[in-house]
This record gives sequence, C-alpha cells and structure tokens, in this order.
Amino acid sequence: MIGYLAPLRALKFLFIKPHTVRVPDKVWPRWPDFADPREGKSVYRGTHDNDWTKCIGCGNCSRICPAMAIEMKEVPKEVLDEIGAKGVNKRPQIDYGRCTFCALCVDVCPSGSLTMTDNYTWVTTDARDHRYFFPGAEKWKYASGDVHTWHKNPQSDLLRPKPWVKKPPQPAGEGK
Amino acid sequence: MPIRELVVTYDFPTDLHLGPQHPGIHGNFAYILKVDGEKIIEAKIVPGYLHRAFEKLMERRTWINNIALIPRVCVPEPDVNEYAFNAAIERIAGWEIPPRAKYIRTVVLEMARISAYLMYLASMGGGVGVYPLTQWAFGDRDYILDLFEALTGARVYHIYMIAGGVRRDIPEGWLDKLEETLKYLEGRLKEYDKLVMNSAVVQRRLVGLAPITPEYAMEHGVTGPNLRATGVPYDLRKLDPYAAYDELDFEVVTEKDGDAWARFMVRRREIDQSIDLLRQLIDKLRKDDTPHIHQPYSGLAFKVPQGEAYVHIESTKGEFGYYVWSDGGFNPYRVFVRGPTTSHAGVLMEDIVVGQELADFSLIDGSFDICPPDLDK
Amino acid sequence: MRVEEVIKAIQDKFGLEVESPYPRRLRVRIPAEGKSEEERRQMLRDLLQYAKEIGFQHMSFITCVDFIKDGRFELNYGLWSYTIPTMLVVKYDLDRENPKHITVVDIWKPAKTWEQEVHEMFGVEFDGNPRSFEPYVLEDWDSIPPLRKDFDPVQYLKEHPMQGAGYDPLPYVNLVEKNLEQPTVEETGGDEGADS
Ligand code: SF4
Ligand code: SF4
Repeated sequence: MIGYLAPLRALKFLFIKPHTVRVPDKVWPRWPDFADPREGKSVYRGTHDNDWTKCIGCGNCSRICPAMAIEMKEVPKEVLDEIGAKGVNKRPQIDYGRCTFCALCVDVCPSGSLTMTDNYTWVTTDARDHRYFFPGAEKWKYASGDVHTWHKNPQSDLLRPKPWVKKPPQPAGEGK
Repeated sequence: MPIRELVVTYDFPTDLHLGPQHPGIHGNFAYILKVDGEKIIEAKIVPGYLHRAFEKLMERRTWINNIALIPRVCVPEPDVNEYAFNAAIERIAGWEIPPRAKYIRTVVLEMARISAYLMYLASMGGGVGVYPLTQWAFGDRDYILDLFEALTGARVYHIYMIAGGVRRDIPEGWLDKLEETLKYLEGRLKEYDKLVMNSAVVQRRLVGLAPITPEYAMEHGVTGPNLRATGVPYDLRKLDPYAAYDELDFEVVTEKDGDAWARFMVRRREIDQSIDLLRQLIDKLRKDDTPHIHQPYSGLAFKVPQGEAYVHIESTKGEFGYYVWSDGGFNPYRVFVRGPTTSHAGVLMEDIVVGQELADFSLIDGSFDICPPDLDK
Repeated sequence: MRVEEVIKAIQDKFGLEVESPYPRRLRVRIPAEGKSEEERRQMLRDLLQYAKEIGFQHMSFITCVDFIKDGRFELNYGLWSYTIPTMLVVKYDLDRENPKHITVVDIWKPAKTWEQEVHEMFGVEFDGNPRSFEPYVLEDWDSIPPLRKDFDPVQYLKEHPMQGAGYDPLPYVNLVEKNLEQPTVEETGGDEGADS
C-alpha cells in the first residue's frame, strides 16, 4: 500500500527495546551508568601491553611500525635486573597520537611479549601519558587491560614464512 | 511584501558555494554552483579538503607497511583497498593463494558491501526526510561492525588482508554468529521496505529524478550500481571475477529506469544479493581446510619482483582499482588509486545537475553515492 | 569481438605489438622511436578512437609514472570493455624535461578530471583541455609537482613549517628519515624476499 501514512507504521518501534548499548568503558566506574562495560571481542586491537620480562629489546616492533610511532626507550639496567629481564635494556614506547592500531608490531615481535588488550578507551589526567605511552612500565600498568585479546600466535606470526603448497587434485576413484 | 520582490534584489545568476560543511554533501567536498533562482545552470567540483597524498606516502613505505595505510582511502568501504592492493602484489609476484584465504576475503568484501550500502540507505533516508531509516540503518550497520571486530580486531579500518591471504583464520563460532546476523538483517530489511518502498513521500522525491541512459552513463565514466540502475548487467564480479566470485552463483542486479529511485533500488536489492552470497560462502568455508595464508616471505620487509599489475574490483561506489608498479625493491615504485568518484563527481555530476532544482542537488549527489575520499586520495 | 580479434585488429591497423600479461588484460605501447612527436600523438588519438569504436566503452583512468632514470614519463590510458570483457592499457612515453602532450577529452569525457590530476601531480601539460590547467586537489602549490620522483616531501616540510598546526612536525621528520633506511637482508630474518 503506497501512501503518505505508510511510514507511520514505524511508530510501533517506539515500544521495542533500543538496540544501542552502553558506552564501553571500564575507566569510569564511578558513573553507575557506565559501569556495565562492553567486552572487547576475542581479537580486539586495543591499547598495548608489554611483558618486560619476556621482551628482549630487539626493536623489530619499531622497525615495522607503519606510523613510526614506536621509539626504543632506554630503561635502567637495575629495573630490568630486578624483574629478571633479558636482552638489550631498551623497551618500546608508543606515541598514541600516531599509532594506527594495526598490530603489525605485535605480529613481528619475536618473543611474543607485546600484545594488545581489550581496552576500548583509555583516560588519563596527564596528556603526556598519551604521547609517551610506555606499555609495561609501572605507571602505565593500570591502563593495560586484563585480557590480551590480540596476541601473536603461530597463525598470525609474520616472521616465519608459511608457504602454502597446492596439493595436486586427487585422481577420481581413489579414496582418501 | 511578496517573496518575489525580495528575491529579485539579488543579482542572478549567482555563485553558490555548497560544502564542504553541508549536511547534504557526503564528506569534505564542495561544489561551486551557478544558480538562477532555484535552477542550477553550472556546477563545478572543488576537491582537496581531504587530500592526504596517499600515492606519495605509499612509495615511501614498505609493502607490508602500506596495508595499514590503504584502508583509509575509502572510508565507508575500506576493504576494497586492502583487497585490490594485495591482489596486485600477488599478481606481480605470481603467487597463488589458498582457497580459504579467497573465501575469507570474499566474506570480508561482501560484509563491507552490506555495511556500505546500509550507510547509503541511511544517507538517502536523511536526504528524503525519512529519518527512521537513517537511524535504523546506522544501528544495524553496527552489527556488521561487531562481526568485523570479532574477525579482524577492528571495527572500521580492518587492516586484515595481507599479501598472500589474511592475517588470521576465522575464530571459532564466528560463522554461526554471521549466520545469526544475516537472519536478523533479513528481518530488518523487510521493515525498511515497509517504511520506504510504500512511502509516497520517498517515491515522489526519487522517481524520475536525474535519469541517465546506459550510453550516457558509459560516456561519462559511470560504473557500479549507478550503471546497473540503467538496465545493463555489468558487474566486475561477473565480468572480471576476482577473489572467490567465480565459484559463487549469483545474478547481476539491474533496474530499468536509471533514475534516483532505480539507483536506490539496485543498492537495496544488492544487500539481499550479498546476504545470499555470504550464505554460500559460509557453506564453502565450513567444508574447506586449507590454510588462511600463503606467505613465502618473512614479514618484516620483503621484496616484490619487478612488474606492474592493475586490479580493479566492484565496490559499492563503482570500479575501484589499484595500479601497482614494482621495481623489485622493498617499496612500491608507484601506486595509482583509481577511485570511482573521480568520474562520478568530476564528469557526471558537473553535467547531470545542470537544469535541476537546487533543492534536489544533495539528493542527486547522494543517489550517485558521491564519496570524495577516493577522489582526493 | 573477442580478445584475439582485438589483438589482431590493432596489429593489422597500427602495426603495434599487443601483449597480454594476465587474463583479461592487454597492453600496448606507442613506440618512442622512428616517429615524430606529431605522428605519435596522432597515432595515440587514432588508437584511442579506434578502441572506442571496437567496444571499449569505458575510460577507466589516465595516469602517469615517473621513470626518472630513463628520463621519461609514462602515460597510461586504461580502457575497459564490458562486452569483451578486457582492459586495454595504452602506454605513451613522454620526454621528462618537456612534458607537453595533447588532450583526449574530445574522445573520452572522463579524461577531463584525469588529465587535471596528471597535470597537477606530474606537470604534464595537456593541450586543448583548459580544465587541466586549473588546480585540482592542491591549493597554492609552490614546488615541483609532488608525484615526481625528485620531489622530496621531507625537504618540502622543512622549507614549509606547518603554520598553526599546534605542533612542530620536525622531530617526526628526523624519525621519518631514520625509518626510511631500508632494512638489510640480515635484519629481515635472512629471507631474500619474495622473489627468491
Ligand atoms: S616488544 Fe617484541 S619486538 Fe619490540 S623490542 Fe620487545 S621483543 Fe622486540
Ligand atoms: S599498532 Fe601499528 S601503528 Fe601502533 S605501534 Fe604497533 S605497529 Fe605502530
């Protein structure tokens, strides 16, 4: 039925539950409205986290970063010795003003220490924390999520070539 | 005082700058119109508000770094860029990619089509004044974005395809979620139809607006759904099959009239087509057990042999192409992005709006799905 | 018309070698030697006109590549046929020092904006297309055309510090330069790259 009143049938949606969800935020727990956090999906690429004990300071992450957001920052030897870390005493520091959240740095990390978490948002009172995000350092610990959603696994490992060889088609009549 | 007397105090014809901040113009884009009263007598595009120098940037980045950059060329449908660029690399290097990678890529492309078309419906809903359509379409698009998030890790710029395949395999249970969402979408699309197809307001605005013929369309470089709305079944997925489209079974959607209503309907019906294609792909993916990537290189940086290749694919805006030249190094020698809007805006729009009412301008602009990011690049 | 017929027709009519590097792709190059500039231009126009007549209905793109080592620009005219279906890329070499050319906008309307883009990005002048001399996406450009290989964006940024952007890009410029150094084979994990 074509007519001017036809769109009015949309009014019935007034009585249907809205499908918008609440703001996905864990950082504002004081606001009860936002205390219902939305879970990041199982491979979500949120803010970074770096396990300093595993990281070897190789700098692969800073070399691949397409946005040139990663700078290898020197960390005092004592700090690393205390936690029993190996390798060069440098750790990646990320400029979140440039980062594109592409996760290429995660996929080329040979030690698998660099991961991404399910943090949708991240709030701080100091703007410089954002510019010099230092995943793994004490001050930034709270910002790293609890769930490491995008992490390197054999599937996504970019360092190791995974050539695929096409199988010749099975001759008909022969079973598996 | 009668309005007429007020109006004649202006000097007609006059220049009217429409955009770049105008709700009826999609993206940062402007037109300079010469108007005589309500009538447009000349139009000229003013691009450049969104220029990000992608082609130069790509020359200065390694092959693998570029995949984080290219999705940004087309905002509503970023995956076409990822596909075309990576397919061009594979073509130059002569790699054959596993079927599973092809299927997953096709799934991503089809989902991107649905989400871009929902955005189109939303913008058209705004243009004709059916605001529920705008809100519904944007709301439902989010379910597609949720799926993207679970598959690729990001909602809008997925950075998911990579030379040789895709970065990760499909997570467990994702195909079931996709099936559920498709079912939900089908139910919703019925509601859309009731809202829009039967509405006399929408029909009176769109039927007969800015009609084009197939000859006119091809003369002006029109591609994609805008061309199919004139009644010719030209679809690159059929004519130049890429990804897994040669294994899928589908009919090209066409409409006869070539007016704004036909363009709207083609897109509305292609959502149905995409849902059908996704169902076929789900079946194929369930049966397939090849790996998700053919990666003969180590990811930090790799070389692509010397050569050049042009890959064009059917995006929701029209023909989207990447022409990639390699000199055998770590970086592309040159990348050229062929966006459909360069012809649609610069050639078609400047011609078709002449003689139209000013009030219809943004509707015509919207009905052709003018999307400036791929023109500005 | 079928693909083989197209190849044959162009060979017979113009004496040009048509190669088919991939399925549904054809490439033909207007030879640079043995002809005057006028004859080559005429040949290009004739070829484009002829292609339109034999069923290449859609001009997909015009673009340019800067082969700075050979001292030439390579113009690429991409024509697509929906009926054959095939893409024909016509290649035309231009002198890099004096990139003067003629328009094809009277044959192909979409050439209007493509030529405008090529003019702005490479400085190729298309005689007969006044539109192509107008600025396109760049505003007040005061350097050599930016997609030429000898245009250095880092240098440009140093000469044109960003005004009012709220931050100074120069620290990044140094970072960019550092990152532009190509990784060595050892650094990429010993893999020779894709072609090995
Ligand atoms: S995070 Fe990974 S890639 Fe980066 S320095 Fe540490 S070990 Fe190397
Ligand atoms: S996610 Fe991408 S852009 Fe961000 S730091 Fe890692 S490599 Fe760089």
